[in-house]
Amino acid sequence: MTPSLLTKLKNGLSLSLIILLVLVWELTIQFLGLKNPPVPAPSQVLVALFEARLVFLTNLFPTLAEAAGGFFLGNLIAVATAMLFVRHRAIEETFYPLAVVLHSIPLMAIIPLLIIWFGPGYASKVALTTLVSFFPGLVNTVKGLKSVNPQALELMEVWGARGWTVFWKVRLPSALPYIFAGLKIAAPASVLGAVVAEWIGSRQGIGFLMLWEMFNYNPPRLWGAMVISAGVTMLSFWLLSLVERLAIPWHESVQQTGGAPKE
Amino acid sequence: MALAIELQEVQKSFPLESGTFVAVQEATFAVGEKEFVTLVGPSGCGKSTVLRMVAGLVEPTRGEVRVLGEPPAYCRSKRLFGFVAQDPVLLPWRNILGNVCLPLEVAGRLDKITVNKAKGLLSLVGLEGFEGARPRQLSGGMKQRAAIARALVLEPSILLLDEPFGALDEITRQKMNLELLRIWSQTEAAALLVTHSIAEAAFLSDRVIVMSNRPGRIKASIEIELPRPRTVDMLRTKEFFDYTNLITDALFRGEEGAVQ
Amino acid sequence: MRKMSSRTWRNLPGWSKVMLSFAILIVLWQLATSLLQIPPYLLPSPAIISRTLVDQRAILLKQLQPTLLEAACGFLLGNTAAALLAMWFVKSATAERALLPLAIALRSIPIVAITPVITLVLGRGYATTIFIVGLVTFFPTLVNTTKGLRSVSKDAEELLSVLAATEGQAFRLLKIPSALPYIFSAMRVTGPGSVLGALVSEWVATDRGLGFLILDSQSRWQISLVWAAIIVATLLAVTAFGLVGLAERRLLSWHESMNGEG
Repeated sequence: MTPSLLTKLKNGLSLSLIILLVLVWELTIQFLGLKNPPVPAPSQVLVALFEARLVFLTNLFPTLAEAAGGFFLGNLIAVATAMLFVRHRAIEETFYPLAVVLHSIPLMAIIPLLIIWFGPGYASKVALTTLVSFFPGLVNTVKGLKSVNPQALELMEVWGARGWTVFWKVRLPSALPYIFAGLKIAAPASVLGAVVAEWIGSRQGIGFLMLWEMFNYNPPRLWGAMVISAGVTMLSFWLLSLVERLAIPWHESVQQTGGAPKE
Repeated sequence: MALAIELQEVQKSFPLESGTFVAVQEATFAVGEKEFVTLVGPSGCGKSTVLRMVAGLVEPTRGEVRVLGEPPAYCRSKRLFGFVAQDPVLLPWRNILGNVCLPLEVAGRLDKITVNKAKGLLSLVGLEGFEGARPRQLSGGMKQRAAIARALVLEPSILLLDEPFGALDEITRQKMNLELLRIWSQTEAAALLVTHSIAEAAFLSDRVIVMSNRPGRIKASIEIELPRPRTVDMLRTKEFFDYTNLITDALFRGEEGAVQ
Repeated sequence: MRKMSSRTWRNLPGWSKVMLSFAILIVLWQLATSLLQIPPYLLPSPAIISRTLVDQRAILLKQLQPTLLEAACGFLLGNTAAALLAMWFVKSATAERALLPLAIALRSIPIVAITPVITLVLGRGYATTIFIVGLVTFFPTLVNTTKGLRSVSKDAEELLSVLAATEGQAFRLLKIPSALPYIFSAMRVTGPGSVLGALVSEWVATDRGLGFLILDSQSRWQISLVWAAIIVATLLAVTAFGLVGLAERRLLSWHESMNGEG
């Protein structure tokens, strides 16, 4: 059996199982005939998603902006910091341990502080998603920039290449697979960060909507908001994988899509 | 005759926790213009360190290295070196032609003419038609051919070869040696090769420099007066056999006690 | 001179570098707050925070307990469920084919974000928080344990079947030890992750615990207590990470990851 066929079969089995589960779920809820149960039938969620589409859309945009803003800002700062670290060892040796210390703080827990510093609006959310994206970005980019084959650096030296030439032609391309690994961690984390940050003192966003619907006891809408936040996360992950495939077609992580990734 | 490479009482030592480790001791030798010289010796005898000092990648602790009468750093900035190591180090994100053109880009000499020259080199090493292939699609021997083409693309005056075929199987290796000689004879470069294969040293070189272990020092310098071009048939001649014996004797001289 | 000092710094062991830069950070922080006269609600000085840690230790300890309970129970339940399911996957290829892709897909969902939904279903209280922590733990462990149980080398498996080992023996002697490095690499994430899961789910689902304390003292503008609670929570997460590391070092001294980067 060819691997692609095997993958198809696997996906098919998984997909049919999901459909079956959703069907069973739908029928159970319909059969029980409860009035507005905490677990709504999938059809009820779909109806709520459609009927309240404007509410969902107006609340989706703030969350997307917060997640995307922090994602780009955090990773930009992370890559710049990693470049600085790799070019100047003294800076790395002074600040990397500090980054490790800061990284061990459960970042979501400092949302209340961020609100004190930046107010309850966009700034505090973007600050959180920036932080959440920064650490995986930094760790992976540093690892990537150091993963370069030392013999390739030696060759560049023999050819009399200057620092920036080495960076653009060798260091950065070999770091790309690691950078993408970091981005793929950061993307779901920033969506999560944005949603959770909206729980506290916020008047808009998917996170706010979830709490609102919870307190007002509107299960179909609450589940709808959950579906949307999960969908956004998966979409961001999938988009990144697509960009990765286009950006580093030569790398083995892109080569084998069906097989289990190596540890 | 002008000298391509010249080492004067070169010493290299590394500081260790327990004193200093002398990797290379008082190495003095020279490589003439368009001469093929091989450094042969056991693993860890410092022959790679010598090669790296010639390229200026490692600074000697004492003594002086001159390449074409200049310090190595100057020759590097003039792009006079071609370098092939055991690992072909092809960048996986570039195709084969892109890899061969990399030194041209670094030197700022990438244009239509030089790219055509790179293509010519690829066909010279027998990789015609593989310009667009990715490194991972190539076998070990083919990768090493690409690495040789890359080393020649800047028309170097000095070709440095650090066990270029060490990772290949014996049969491929023998073929690659013949190819290397054919390609090298079409250039004007002097070659300095590092290997631990006695037969390879005798077959390729104009002169073989034998090094000993710990500390690495030069034990002998043996002229190989086999005619060029070298052929596979020469591997079966008595002269060739005598040369390999000479090198073997030089390698094991004074170490009988250890051999028993 | 500069070269010397940078070399001394380089030769320090990793943990002392962390400690030293941490100490420098604290000193700078203290200096900054007193010299620049930063108002304590913006950035309380380390002195104020440490005083709060001491003065408010009763309330901090009291609120630590629920969080600890949630994190520990959720972690254990999540890991147990994941391990059992992974063992089933190894026995039944069909089950794995049907469920593992699902698990991998669900793993990338921000679990903590669904706390309101779980609160709606399970109600406010421990059930919800423990369930969330369990979910946070479950998916990474499931994926890694399955990968680990499958990582057994063919040669070793053949060797055991030549020795006519029973299925139980094969599990005990071969599969579980091979899976341990994978399991631990999941736990290094889920250990601190379960503390975070507990904290954040407390915001929505309970009115006790460190997470609640952080939020509650913020709303009452007791900023130094917010800081103190965050520090206790961080220590808890670091302890979880440390315990996983300790267990790993005990159990996996044979594994190459232990001899490499340390």
